[in-house]
Amino acid sequence: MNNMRLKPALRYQLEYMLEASVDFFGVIILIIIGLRLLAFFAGVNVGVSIDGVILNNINFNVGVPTVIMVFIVGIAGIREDIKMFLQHGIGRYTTYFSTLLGSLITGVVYGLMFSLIDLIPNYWPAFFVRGSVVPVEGFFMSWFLNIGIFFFTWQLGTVISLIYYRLNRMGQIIFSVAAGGIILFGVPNIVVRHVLRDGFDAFMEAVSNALVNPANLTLFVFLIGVLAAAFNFMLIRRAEVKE
Amino acid sequence: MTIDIQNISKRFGQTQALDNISLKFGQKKIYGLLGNNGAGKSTLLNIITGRYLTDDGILTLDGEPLKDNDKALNQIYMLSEKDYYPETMKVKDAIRWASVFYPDFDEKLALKLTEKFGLPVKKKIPSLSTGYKSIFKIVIALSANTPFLLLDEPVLGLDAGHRDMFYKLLIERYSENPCTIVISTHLIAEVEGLVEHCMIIKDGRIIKDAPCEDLLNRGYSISGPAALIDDYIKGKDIISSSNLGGLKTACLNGAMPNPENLPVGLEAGKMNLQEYFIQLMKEGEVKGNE
Repeated sequence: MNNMRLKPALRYQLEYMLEASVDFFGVIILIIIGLRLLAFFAGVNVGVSIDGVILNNINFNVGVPTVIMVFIVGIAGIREDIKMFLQHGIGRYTTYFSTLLGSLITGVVYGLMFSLIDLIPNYWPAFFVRGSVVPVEGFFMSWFLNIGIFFFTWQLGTVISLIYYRLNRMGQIIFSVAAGGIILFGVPNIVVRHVLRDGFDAFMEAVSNALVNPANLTLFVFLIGVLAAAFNFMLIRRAEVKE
Repeated sequence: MTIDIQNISKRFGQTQALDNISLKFGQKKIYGLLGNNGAGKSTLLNIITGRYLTDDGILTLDGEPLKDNDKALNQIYMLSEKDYYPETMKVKDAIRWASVFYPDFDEKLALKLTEKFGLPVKKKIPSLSTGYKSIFKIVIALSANTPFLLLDEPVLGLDAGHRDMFYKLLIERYSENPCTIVISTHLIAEVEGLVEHCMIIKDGRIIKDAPCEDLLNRGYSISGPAALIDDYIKGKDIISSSNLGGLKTACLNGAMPNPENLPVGLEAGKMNLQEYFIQLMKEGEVKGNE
């Protein structure tokens, strides 16, 4: 641990994340401005459809594309970072901890940004469509939840990337088919439901009831994020540079 | 400072890339890691720098394990045959990052070298030609200022002029700031005057590990009419032999005989490194570490 050189690795990752963020939000802002101009010049009222084209999403929900962007960064970043870092005398453990810290810092910054954006309608409601007012007292919980979501998303992307990185061609095919089966056909759901019958439904209902509580949901998101991070640690320990 | 490699092995599927290799890279020497394509040279260097993991064995730098030890790994810079940079990275950015990762990296020297070689710094690394990619890697390696410099096929794709420039710069760098340099190459004739110590690798095993001078003094070559050569080499320790028309050349272990004692028609000479290497590769049996 005391032989790690975390500072240059983290600096590298954060600088690249900053660059990616500037590019990403630059495009997003252009899209928002474009949609606003369209609404203005076309004389369209927000929430009205013209010839079947619904323009009620004129404010553009930035949260979901950002989560997708972070997920892609999680997938693509780790593969390039392993190579770049090993090329420059940075080992796997540093790569892991730097990625972990990088995802947390990104989560904190993005989370804060989105929690603040959520508060804007409170003070400038005329500009926003949704009109719903976010309670200010929920700010910190909203921030924590956002941190958890971004952290988990990054770690999930890294898990998927590392699984494919570590597997050989045959392993990749088997994993893809198995994962596809699970996602598309809900295999575990069917199996568990078959085995546990009513108990499973009751369990799922209890879980969803528990997750309605924002504190529980935040805790849950962090928990699965930490699980993903632990899995990443195991995957990165024996990762080799691939040509 | 010494890199100590003990009993390392590495297998890729059915291929035994390295087989129980033990060797040491001492301080401030120029080593030649010589071997045919696929002998295991790159694998060995990639293991030293942690890019590959070993199946067995121990690697240390001054007694400290090398595996994932940033402080130890930071003492080594490896110029790889392959590219390990992000697709979008430009030459100038790679130079800047090298100076972040290596505290003693000489950024000014790197930029000076880019001008000297005519390397376009604003270009993305993947868009460089093979020769310019090699130049880019050479620039970073020569500016890294690490105690250990591992060069894996450093002159790949370079024209004769640039190759010559590289060897001169390498000698300059070594004389100004001596460090341990390991050159892995199959262009043996080009590095012959440069390397002090030879490590010859064949089928994943080190078959020779000795100062070049010692290796070349251990044997000699003798040539002449085939019948005379056959008579002469009977009972001697033959490294290898080859025929060309009616003439035969044999490489033998042992001290070079006095020319006056040789049968008429035979000529003895000192082997050069390339000749020695070629003969050694022809030799069927592996004699183990020296």
